[in-house]
Amino acid sequence: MTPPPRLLFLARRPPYGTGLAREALDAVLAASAFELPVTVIFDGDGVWQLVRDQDPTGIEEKCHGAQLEALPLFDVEDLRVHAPSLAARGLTAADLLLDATPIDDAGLREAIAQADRILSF
Amino acid sequence: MRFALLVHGAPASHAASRTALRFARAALAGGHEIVRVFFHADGVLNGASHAVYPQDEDDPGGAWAALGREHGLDLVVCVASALRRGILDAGEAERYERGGATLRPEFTISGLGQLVDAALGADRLVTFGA
Repeated sequence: MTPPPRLLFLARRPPYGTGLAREALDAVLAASAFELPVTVIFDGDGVWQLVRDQDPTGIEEKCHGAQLEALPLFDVEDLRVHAPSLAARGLTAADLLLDATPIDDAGLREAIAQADRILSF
Repeated sequence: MRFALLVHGAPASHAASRTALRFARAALAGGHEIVRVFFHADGVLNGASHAVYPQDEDDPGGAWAALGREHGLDLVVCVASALRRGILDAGEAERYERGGATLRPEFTISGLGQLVDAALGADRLVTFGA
């Protein structure tokens, strides 16, 4: 039996301001329902999605961070974050609400090369 | 090659829809197969049946519908994205007691499972607009 295809989700948008971060999360959960191996990489402005203590009540949005925290409950556990994107925004691993594995440019290239399908949001 | 396309961009405000259209036409002309075009987020507005464009402008949604008719394409809008944006087929309009369908008849409404299914069934999934 051939192994199931590995899906890579690239989360590249900030959590608020556009709806794509939320809609990406919906797609990740749909993929997890197929019991496929799923990797999510937060890259570029997407790293803002991971910042802890988000409180969007003032802008009348649902808390995206709280929804991300539920990912491990859906067996989406391979979460990675592009460390240069964090550094460029003055963020460190201590600022993050989830235990995402830091990767560098080479790690990003390797993940993209190894994925069977890439969904970019 | 078997392609699946994922379109995130609205037709009137983002180049993604037109770029994806050109890609689809080129792929079909090259003898490739398009297993599904999945419209997600603002991309669902490509299926808006009530969009009206000035005569001297291209109407990307209309062009998708025409390409769909010509090649029997499976044009799918994400139900969660579509309902938020007022894009409803007759069944959803009845369920939510809205005035009538706002989805072009060449498109169908379905869930994100259809995106995953398309990704699995194609050799390549190409994303437009993100």
